[in-house]
Amino acid sequence: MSTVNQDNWVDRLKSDDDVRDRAIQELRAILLRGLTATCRSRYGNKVSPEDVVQDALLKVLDKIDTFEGRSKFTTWAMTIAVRVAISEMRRKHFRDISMNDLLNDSMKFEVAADPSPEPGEEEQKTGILSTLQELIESKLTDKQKDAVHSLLNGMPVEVFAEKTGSNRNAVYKLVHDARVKLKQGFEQAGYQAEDIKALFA
Amino acid sequence: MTSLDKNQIQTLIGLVTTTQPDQLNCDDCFGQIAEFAEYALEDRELTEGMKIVQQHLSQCPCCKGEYEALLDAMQELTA
Ligand SMILES: [Zn+2]
Repeated sequence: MSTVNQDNWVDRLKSDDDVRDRAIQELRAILLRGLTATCRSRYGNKVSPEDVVQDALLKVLDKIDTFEGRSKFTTWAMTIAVRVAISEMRRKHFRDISMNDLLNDSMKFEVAADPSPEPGEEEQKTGILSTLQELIESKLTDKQKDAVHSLLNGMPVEVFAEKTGSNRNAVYKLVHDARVKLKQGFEQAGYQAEDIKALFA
Repeated sequence: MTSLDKNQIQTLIGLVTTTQPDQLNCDDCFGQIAEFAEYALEDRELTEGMKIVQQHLSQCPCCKGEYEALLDAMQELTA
């Protein structure tokens, strides 16, 4: 009879008898159930939960020593599984799209004035958009422009990072810094975020 | 030449006007997201630390998408 505490996933998954095998089977079933729900609701079954669950399980076992007990083990494991599923889905979706397709010469990072403004708002909106255009040109680096432009074209930060040989943290910071620069630029030009938001809501 | 369309402009305006200081990067956020999800699922009041996670999520579409997918999965388990 095993003395391993059945509530303790880490102990069970690290034991070396059939306690471990049973724990793995249980965890696989839990992850599969969660992933099936998330793949169905969010990703139109672009990714098969059965395909990613094995990969997810291996990642969980690989990272098990980093589990700090700040959440339930199953929530922590599901976090890893969901990340595996979404990364796979993003990779599949963007596999055949190159940076060139996304940011080719015919796709300008330009903000044209709204062609159908409400009467009375036209002038204000046009002023804001031309300020935005100036700020993009004067405040952002080429890298920042590409990163923000890709994001607006629907490419997740994670995929942009992979395609440009960077990493997600660095690209997130690149985009965040760009946003801060544009926001500050607006403030210096006399536009407050709240007013802009209200006008474009 | 194709400029940004109306939706893209709206998204860009949204990105700029909602920008707040962010103390986390995506890896930091990932390290705390399981705990944050339990706060949400159990409807508990956020600690200061969890509010910092919330602040990252409100600005990072990538982490936000993963968080929402996690909530779907966890809700299925408790259903
Ligand atoms: Zn993030």
